[in-house]
Amino acid sequence: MDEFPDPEDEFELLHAQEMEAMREMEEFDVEEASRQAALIPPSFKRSLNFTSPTPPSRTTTSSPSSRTTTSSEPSNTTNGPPLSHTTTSQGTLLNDGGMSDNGVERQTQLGGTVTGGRKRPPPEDDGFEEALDILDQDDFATHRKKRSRPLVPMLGLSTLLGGQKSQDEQDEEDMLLIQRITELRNSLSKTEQHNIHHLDLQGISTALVNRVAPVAPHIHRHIPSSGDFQAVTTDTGRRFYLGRLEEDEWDARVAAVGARMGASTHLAVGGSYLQLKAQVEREQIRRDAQLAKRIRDEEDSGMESGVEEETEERESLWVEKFKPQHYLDLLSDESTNRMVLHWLKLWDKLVFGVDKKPKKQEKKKKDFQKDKFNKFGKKFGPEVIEELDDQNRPMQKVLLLAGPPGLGKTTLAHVLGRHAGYHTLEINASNDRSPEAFRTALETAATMRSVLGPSPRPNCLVMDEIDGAPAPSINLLVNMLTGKDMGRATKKGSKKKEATVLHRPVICICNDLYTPALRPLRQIALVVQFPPTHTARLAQRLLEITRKRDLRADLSVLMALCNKTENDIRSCLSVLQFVRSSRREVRLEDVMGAAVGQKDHQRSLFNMWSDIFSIPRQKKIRRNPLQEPLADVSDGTLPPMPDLNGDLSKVGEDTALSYRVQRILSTTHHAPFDKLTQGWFHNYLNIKTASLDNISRGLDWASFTDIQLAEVGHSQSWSLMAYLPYACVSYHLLFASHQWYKIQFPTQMNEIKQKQTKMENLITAMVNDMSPKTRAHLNPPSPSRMTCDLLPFLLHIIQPNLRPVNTQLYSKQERADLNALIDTMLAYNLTYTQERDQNGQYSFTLDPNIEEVVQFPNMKSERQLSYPMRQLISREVELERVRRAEARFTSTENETSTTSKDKRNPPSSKPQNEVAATANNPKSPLPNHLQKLQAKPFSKPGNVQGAVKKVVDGEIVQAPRDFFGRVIENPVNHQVKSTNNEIVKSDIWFRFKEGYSNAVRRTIRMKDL
Amino acid sequence: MQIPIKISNDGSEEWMMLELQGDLESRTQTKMSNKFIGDLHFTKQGVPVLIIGHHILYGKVMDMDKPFVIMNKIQTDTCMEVPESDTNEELDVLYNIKAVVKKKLIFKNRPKPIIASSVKNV
Repeated sequence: MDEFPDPEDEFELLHAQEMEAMREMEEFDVEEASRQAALIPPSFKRSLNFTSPTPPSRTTTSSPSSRTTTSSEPSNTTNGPPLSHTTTSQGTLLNDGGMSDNGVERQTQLGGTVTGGRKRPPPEDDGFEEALDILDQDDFATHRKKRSRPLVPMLGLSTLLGGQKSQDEQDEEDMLLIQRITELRNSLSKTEQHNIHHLDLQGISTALVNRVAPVAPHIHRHIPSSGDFQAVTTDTGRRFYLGRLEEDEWDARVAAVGARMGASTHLAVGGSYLQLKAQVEREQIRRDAQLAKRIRDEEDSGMESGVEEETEERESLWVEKFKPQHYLDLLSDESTNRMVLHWLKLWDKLVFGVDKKPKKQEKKKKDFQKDKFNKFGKKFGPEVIEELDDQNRPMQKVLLLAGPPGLGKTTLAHVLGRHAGYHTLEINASNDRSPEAFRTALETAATMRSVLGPSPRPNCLVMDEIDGAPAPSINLLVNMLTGKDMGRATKKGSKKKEATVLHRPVICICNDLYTPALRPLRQIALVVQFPPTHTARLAQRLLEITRKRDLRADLSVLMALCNKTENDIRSCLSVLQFVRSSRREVRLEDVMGAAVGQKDHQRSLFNMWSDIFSIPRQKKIRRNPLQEPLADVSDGTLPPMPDLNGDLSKVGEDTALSYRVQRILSTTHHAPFDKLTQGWFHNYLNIKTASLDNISRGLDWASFTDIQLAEVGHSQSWSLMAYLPYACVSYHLLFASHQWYKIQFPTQMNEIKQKQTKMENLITAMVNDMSPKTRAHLNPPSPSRMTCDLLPFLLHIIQPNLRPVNTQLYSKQERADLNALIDTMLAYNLTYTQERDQNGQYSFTLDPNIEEVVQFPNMKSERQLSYPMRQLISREVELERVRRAEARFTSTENETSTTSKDKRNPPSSKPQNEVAATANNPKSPLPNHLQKLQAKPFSKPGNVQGAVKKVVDGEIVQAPRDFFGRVIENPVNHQVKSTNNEIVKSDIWFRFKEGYSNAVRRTIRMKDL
Repeated sequence: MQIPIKISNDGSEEWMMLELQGDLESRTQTKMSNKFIGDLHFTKQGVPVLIIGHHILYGKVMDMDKPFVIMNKIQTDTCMEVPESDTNEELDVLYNIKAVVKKKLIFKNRPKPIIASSVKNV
């Protein structure tokens, strides 16, 4: 409505208008127009008026309005074609497309006026219309004064005709009139019913047009002789004087027009405003009704509480709606809550700078006061931002909440975070898993705080489902928590060198605490295992909710629901909301029929084991008789008790065997049977009441299970699995008791498996290291054969009775025994090695420790060699090994080379060497430095210090020992080594003496010479 | 007491004295008499170089403060045979000057080892 055309458009329009005006001037025929108008029935006229494409762009006419005057200028003051042309030109303005159509329209309008009795078309109607349109503008107030003027002269004629009123009064009345019209328009626009609005505007304009029609000759070129006038200057510089019209006259005319047009226009006489208002109200009512109807429809599809509630409910789940808002609302275990809160409060010193004292007091205060206090403390407490000592942070830098889903871990974190005065910032670690995302979140949490919002609180980061995050992210978190993180060192280099340390509490939430990735986090975290919510407490809360939501529910039903969902608050509420959506009462069947807590819920192995080992109590059975579904009976292979298919609740009434059997069957229906049996095997001996007979039968069943599983695994015949639950049933029947036993996780399987692998490796290694001669007799050297047939006896054989004395003192027989022992040990590549046990004691153990393989753990072997004996044997073995290796080496050496024979000869060939050495010397006629350096064997000095060499008739040569029994290094070796230096040739050598020669003076007498 | 000293027949030679800072030892612990000790050379600059075994020693030539004389003590057989004639005792002992020592070669620096086997080993 308010869009002005572009300057070019305007220009075009202007020209079009003028051209149109010219054409109209030639063509226009009043008679024709009046005839045409007469043909058109009033209703059509009205419809024309209503639908006429007088678009919002009408305001553009504000500038043409003056131009109309200019264009009509030649025709001057009186009526006639020119004025009518202005109207047509106006029409072209209004509708660019159809000029001629508009022309027709205008003519019809004019015709309407003609029918009113006057022959001449109304010249000023357009001007008036424009004025109204201008008024319609938003800023009409500024325009009003200026633009309202043209109104007056249009009506000026009547003023002239009948005006006795004073001009001041006229002015006032005019203004009043204008005001009324604008008022009316405003009220219309307020209704926001644009259709009607436009129509009404149209109506107004047409009405006015019609009315104003006869007022043509009130534009004067000169100052009018009588009456009020308004001077108008056109853009060509001409000046016109417009007369004024009196109010009464105006009213009268309006009334006349109204009467003439009938009640067709909305802007009728005085009551027009009321009419419009009524119409607006009607429209409003209609819309309201529509809205109401829509809402009602929605309601019908959903639940039927009040309108607002319903809409709200559509947005939020009950889980959200009834989320605990305060600490006192929390359903979870009180001690857990307190622990978490306490940990959060430990951060106060760092985060809020609050001392310990007020914190304690505040803890005892009530909830609301506490919150207030917190705010207070936060606002005015010193905000310590610079680096703080680590002691200001709690020792456990992070809180790790662990527990099954739906217990309210996240809720707890949020409520407590809020409660302790933090702004909880949640990131879902399984969604934002990358280390970068972690870092961003952590840094955001640590450094930023919400500036906006009612109360800027420090952040408390809640990382949900952190067990879904990969290990690098967790490591990053740990590093940041412990202050080891170096920031993005690669990116920013020196700028971020200082470690980023978190100064805000971080709460991590996970379902599975023992995810490998969480291990580093667990070590630094305060781990809070979430205990399951009490069934009674949860049921009570559910009851409250159902009451609030106008849902009839029995406490027992709710308890059953809680049991079924394993106290999962979320699924409880979901079930309730679901039921509530259809009706107003929760019945047991609803609960039992709901597929909640069964589909994706997996009974833990511990639950299964405890089911197996315990006889259900009467009370429990009564409460949840239907808890166990009967699905497994549908297995065709089961030869079940058919009566169970019937009334299970009846079955459940008594603790009959049938019920128990059924229960175990259902529990272990899809269980991993291997684990289950392992668990049973691990724990069954702890059952005190088990008789030996039962144990034997249970073991029979266990072996049955084993055979079945082996077969299943081997032949992939999974149908055999169907029989396995019965083994569980028999375990239950044989071992169940009312007592409660702590059930341990079966670890034996793994341990034994590991041990077996170790032993097998050991035996394999031993076989590989054996001397080939021995190995030849062990064909094939299977581990089991070794273990059962060979090693136990070998262990006895290598531990003979030997006197624990020096071997020098052995008799010949003992020596022979020792030699045989050494021989045997070497054959099997056994030796003793010194080890240090955990007490710091040294002991000699067999090197391939076949003792471990052969003996049961924790059982002392009947005979053990003493420490010195083992030491002795090990030494002997070592020596013998060296000796053999040397013998082998020399034998090969003898065969291959004769030149180097002398050098490598054992010391027994000493005389030869000496001869060679002495023979070497005189044989050197050349001076030393000219001699070719030749290898020269060096003879061992005859008197080696205390070497005790003993050549027994056998091969055994006792190595020389010192006082402590240590083997003395063979001096021969040393000498041989030094003589290997081939430079040394001459017998005489020079020993330099340090010092000054003139420092020592010795008198030598002639006679001493 | 009178000691007859007589210059040897072939005239007195000039010997040089070797002064070593250190000992000469035998590896075989045998007597060193009549054994080859080492080689003595002089460089073009006149620096004496002594090679003993695998040691090489650099020394210098020095004038002695007092020259030494090398003498042979000769006991005539006649004297021995006639013990009672105490008067003739001194006549029986005769010193024969073999050489005069006016300079000495002094080796007082630490000997340097000769390592020749490295090439061979490699």
